[in-house]
Amino acid sequence: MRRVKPTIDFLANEAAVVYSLPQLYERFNLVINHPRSSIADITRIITEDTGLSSCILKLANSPLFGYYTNIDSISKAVTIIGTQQLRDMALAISCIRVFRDIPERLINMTSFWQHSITIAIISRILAIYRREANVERYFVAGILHDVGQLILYTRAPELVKEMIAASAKSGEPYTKIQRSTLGYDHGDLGGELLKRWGIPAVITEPVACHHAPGRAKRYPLETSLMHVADVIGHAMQVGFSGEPFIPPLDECSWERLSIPVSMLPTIITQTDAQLSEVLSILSGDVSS
Amino acid sequence: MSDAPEIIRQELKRLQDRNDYLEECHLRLVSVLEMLASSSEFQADLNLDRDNVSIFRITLKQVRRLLAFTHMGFYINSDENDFELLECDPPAKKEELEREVEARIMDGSFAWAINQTYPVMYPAGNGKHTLIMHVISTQSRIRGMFVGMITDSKSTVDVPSLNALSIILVNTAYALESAKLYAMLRDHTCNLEQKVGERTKELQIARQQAEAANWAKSVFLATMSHELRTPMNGVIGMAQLLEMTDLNEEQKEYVELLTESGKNLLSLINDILDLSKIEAGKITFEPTEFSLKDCINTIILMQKSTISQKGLSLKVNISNDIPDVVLGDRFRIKQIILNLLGNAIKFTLQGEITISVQVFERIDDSARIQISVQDTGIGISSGAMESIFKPFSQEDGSTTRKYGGTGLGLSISQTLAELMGGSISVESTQGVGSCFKVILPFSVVRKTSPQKDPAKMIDLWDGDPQRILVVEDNPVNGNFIMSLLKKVGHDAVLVENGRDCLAALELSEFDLVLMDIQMPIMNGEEALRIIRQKEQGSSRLQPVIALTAYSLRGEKDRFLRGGFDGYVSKPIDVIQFINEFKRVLDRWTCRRDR
Repeated sequence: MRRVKPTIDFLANEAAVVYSLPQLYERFNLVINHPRSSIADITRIITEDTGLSSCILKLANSPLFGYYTNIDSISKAVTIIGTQQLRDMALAISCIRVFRDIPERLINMTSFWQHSITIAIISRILAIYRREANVERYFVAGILHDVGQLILYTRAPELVKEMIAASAKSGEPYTKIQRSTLGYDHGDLGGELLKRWGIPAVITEPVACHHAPGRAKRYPLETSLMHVADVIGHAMQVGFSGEPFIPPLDECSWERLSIPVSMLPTIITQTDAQLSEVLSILSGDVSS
Repeated sequence: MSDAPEIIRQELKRLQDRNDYLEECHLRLVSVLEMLASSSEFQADLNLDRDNVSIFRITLKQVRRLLAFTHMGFYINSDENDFELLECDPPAKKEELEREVEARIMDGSFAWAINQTYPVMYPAGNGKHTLIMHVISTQSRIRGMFVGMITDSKSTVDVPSLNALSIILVNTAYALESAKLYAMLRDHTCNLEQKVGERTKELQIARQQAEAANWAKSVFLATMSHELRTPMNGVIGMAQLLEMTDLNEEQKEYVELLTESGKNLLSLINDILDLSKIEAGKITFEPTEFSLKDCINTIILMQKSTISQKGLSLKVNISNDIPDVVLGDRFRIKQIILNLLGNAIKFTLQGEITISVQVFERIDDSARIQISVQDTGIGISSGAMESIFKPFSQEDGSTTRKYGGTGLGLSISQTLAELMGGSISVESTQGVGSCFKVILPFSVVRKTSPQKDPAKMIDLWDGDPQRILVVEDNPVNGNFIMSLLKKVGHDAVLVENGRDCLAALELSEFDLVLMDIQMPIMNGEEALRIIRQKEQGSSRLQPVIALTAYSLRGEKDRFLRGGFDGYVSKPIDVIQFINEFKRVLDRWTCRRDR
């Protein structure tokens, strides 16, 4: 019996109904972009959500930032970390919360976030190395890059099982099987959901194209960075998001970043140094 | 129903607020974008200005349009890795701003801000302001830090403004970087020019030193002439004397060989000294009237025996239009022709040598005469054609071993010819033969009475024996001259210096004095001066011939002007010596007779 293959729009629409982004993100955006908003206004929005506030403060004091002294208030975090940066941090945390109720039998969420957070940290380190403005944007993109996998796990679990089996049998990457089976991969699907959430293209495009960076039209650099971070993260073998194979590296992407190969050990060491604490902060929030 | 208008009113209000908000955002975004768009002008300014202060001033002007900073300034990263406030606006608030930043430096937040790519904000110590710090950095390095203070009440720290601030400051960083790189480039160019200049100067000095050294060497050799020729004079002179004694066949042969070797060595010494004189710029020409035909015949006479010994035949073609008497430096011309002929003989193993003399060009009394020496010798390879006129070069090293010679002759000949206004050229085919052509300028002397070539007057002394005083410090030369004079039949007395000469003249009368120039105690010139001084008012005049190793030809005039009656150069050529001797005595006899 031939199963009907769900279209990308079908799955994305369905997911958007089930998983909705907290209003906080939009309100935050309104405030920080407001010509008359002050630090106090921004602080107020975050502190409304105590879980979010404490999580942000924990992150602000983690090795991720390495600030020399204790950041003990959100208002201080706003000034030191920056408003946009804080918004993106908040978005990352919120997204993790959105998917917190996925049952263990479908996928091990701890392992999933391990992988995503690893990619997020690598992306952020690569961006810092390149002295990109607002590195938190890369962090949140890393957190979100595999949400398409979650949609597939929750909305089409049978299909996922078949595709994973096909991948294991043929030895072909799971992502490639997704593409040949569905006509799109988890990246495309995740991108579609984020678009429906109103996330800007600077994040959605890298998510959508992270397995096919050549397709990125508007943000090729951000997409390349996401792709390279994903390859490095897979190679580090931390966590699991469905793909058992290390994705093949796109050489154009690597060259576009112009990061010397000699940097790789440093990137991995730095990632390791930040990973466990960030992981416990963010997954602690998940379990709370 | 009553609820409905309330809901609608609330919704209306919400939409109204939303609209107001969006409108305000829109206006703000438009103004920020406008500001950034107009920064193309700002960027052009940044690129034009090459010093940090003006780059900062332009940036401050731009930032002012973006946010209402009450204090603004730039810290730059100095060489000692210290940050100092370079520019402040308004300048009066410098101290206040410095105080705020100082506190941030102390608590480490300044250092934090350096590593962020976004504006970092702090409540100011005075409680009324917010301090904004933004690093000025490119991807490669940190150039400085922007610091600004804004009043809390007006603190609009919206994202678009802060992003715009980042954009402006990144531009500033790149402007600073290009300014720095441009300055470096300029410095490098400048350094390069300076280095080239220094190197050129060094090379010039080195060249001057080398030239000076070469000149000094030439001067040395030229003045060594005396030292070299004096012993040679002794050697050759003694050999000549020895030839005049009774010798058996074996001894005669040895003496001939001795004379021959001596002459060879002397000619080599002469060559080297000539070259040195040329290089030292000491060469002078002494034009006299002479017969070119006779001169060439003399040369042929001198070489005839060698030519016949080698079994070569010699042809001489002297064109009829060659003037009888010309004005030129006979000695040097003879030297050139002798060299060319000598070479022809040296490098020809069989066949013939042809000497041709013809007028090359004649305008009134000046004539360019071409003398060519053609041989059927080994010839010159085309590769060696250029170098044969250079000193010390024969065609190759083996030539010297096989044919002898120094390789100086052609070089000297060419230089001499050129200095006289002439030239030497050569045509040659290897294995067939060579033809050297020398073209020399002469002045034609219109004289009916042909001059006698002194060289032809080789007859022996035919006059009365004379009483002669020889003044010569070198015993070998002295003995040689004494023996020579005695052979001819003269009565001679030898003294060693000028003072002894004067004493001898006091004691006795002499028909002639042969006076060496360089002597210890009193030199020849000084002795002559005293002799001439004593003659003042007396009718008796003492003939004095200078006997000198100064074969610098220019010196001859000096000696003659100095009161000498004649001049004989050492090493002494017997024939020349006797001829000069005769000339002086004849003149004196004439004068006395009158």
